[in-house]
Amino acid sequence: MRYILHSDLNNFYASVECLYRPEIRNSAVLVVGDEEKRHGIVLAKNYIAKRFGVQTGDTIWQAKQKCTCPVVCVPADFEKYLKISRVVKNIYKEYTNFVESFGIDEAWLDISKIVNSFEEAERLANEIRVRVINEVGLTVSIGVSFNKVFAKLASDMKKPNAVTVITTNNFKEKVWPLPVRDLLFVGRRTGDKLERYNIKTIGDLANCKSELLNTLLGKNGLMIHKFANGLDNEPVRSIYQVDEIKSIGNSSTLPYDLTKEDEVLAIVSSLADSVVARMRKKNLYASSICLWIKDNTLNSCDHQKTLSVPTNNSKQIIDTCMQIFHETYTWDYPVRAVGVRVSHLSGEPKQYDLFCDPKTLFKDCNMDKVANELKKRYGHNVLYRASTLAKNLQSVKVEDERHQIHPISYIR
Amino acid sequence: MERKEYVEVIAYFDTIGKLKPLKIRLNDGSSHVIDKVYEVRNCADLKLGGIGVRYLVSINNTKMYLYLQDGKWYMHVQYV
Repeated sequence: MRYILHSDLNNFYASVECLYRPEIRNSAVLVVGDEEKRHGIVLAKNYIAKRFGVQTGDTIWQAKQKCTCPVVCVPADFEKYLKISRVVKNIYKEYTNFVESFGIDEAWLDISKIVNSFEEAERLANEIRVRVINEVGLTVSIGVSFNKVFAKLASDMKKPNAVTVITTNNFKEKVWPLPVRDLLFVGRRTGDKLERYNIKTIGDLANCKSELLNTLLGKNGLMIHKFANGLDNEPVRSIYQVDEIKSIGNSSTLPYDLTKEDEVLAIVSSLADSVVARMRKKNLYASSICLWIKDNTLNSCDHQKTLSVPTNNSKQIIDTCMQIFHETYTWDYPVRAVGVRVSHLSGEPKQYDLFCDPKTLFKDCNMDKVANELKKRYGHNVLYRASTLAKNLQSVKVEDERHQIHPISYIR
Repeated sequence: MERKEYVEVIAYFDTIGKLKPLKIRLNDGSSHVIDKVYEVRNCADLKLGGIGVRYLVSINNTKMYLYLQDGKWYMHVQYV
């Protein structure tokens, strides 16, 4: 029998802000993006704001309109959130080496080696909950179960500051009446599809024939059928396990809409430079380059190109991106956001293209190396591309990997 | 009302890196020897904000808390 905990820090960003500024604790607290950079939406809110119906993703003015009490808007400070997240995860690691993060505020813990029953697991979950309150000042909801999917479901059942247990004996009563959309991997589209077939609860899904789900949703259908029946056997990853990197990407929403190609080139260059810096750090070469564009009507699309020889040369990546841009973007609307992503990563290529000029190639690579070294030594802003200076776009901050806080994929 | 008063601290580090505060100097210039450290724990300062390490110490036979947060030491002081 496995004993898995899923712990979820309640209203994480907003709670951290309240922790550092106790005086705002009794107001509606909204953690918001930078309005000037057009990231002016609510990223997180505390329970008071939640009571007024504020939702993550609301614009700041919408959220303020909803609240009839004093509202405190706080700019997001990711460094602080990452620091607190590390402190909390260090508490988890005191109990087990099997701690798998799911985003900045959630984690699974496999405690099978230290407990022998659900009672003991619940006791341990409560101990962790109390320690997090005392040592970090944040409330946490913990789900205890025999697999990761049910543990996550359990942690969502009672909030804040609570422990919920789903055992092998009670999962049919506790989990099956819940709406099917509560299950991990049942999103909006899948939920709609299932409801069309009158599959409304997790119980309906569990009792559904797997053949039907296979026809409806393919292998994902079989997977969620297993989840609903409590047959998820995905292990909790060890803290020592290093995952293979499958892609590296950066994107940026711009302070103003772009209407000219040289502006796009400037942004693509900065993004590519940061992607290349990360590739070099890991000594990786990419053979697939993808450009993502979002226009000011919020429609986005991405296109990719495959190279014959893997590269980590920024000039080549920029040229490929601009080629994609030429071929695919029709300038129906101005550009609001741009992203560059490289994938199909490998080590150094053994064979170069027969027709490329090795001298130019090595020159370009050396230039990247020097640029990287300078940035490493004197900071990211020591060197700009001239094109960004002309368009006054050097203020567009390209984040590096320290800012990776999105949940990583469950299935790997 | 209470506020944080940042203080100067003289501390002793042992060979495994553990530190023990020995003496504090308040903003008014007065120095006080720490007679004893009773308890050291990671702790959130729910009253005045932040997380760090809380030392329960005795100064002039009075028990009080000394906080270490982001490399800076402070105490809670009353003000009107």
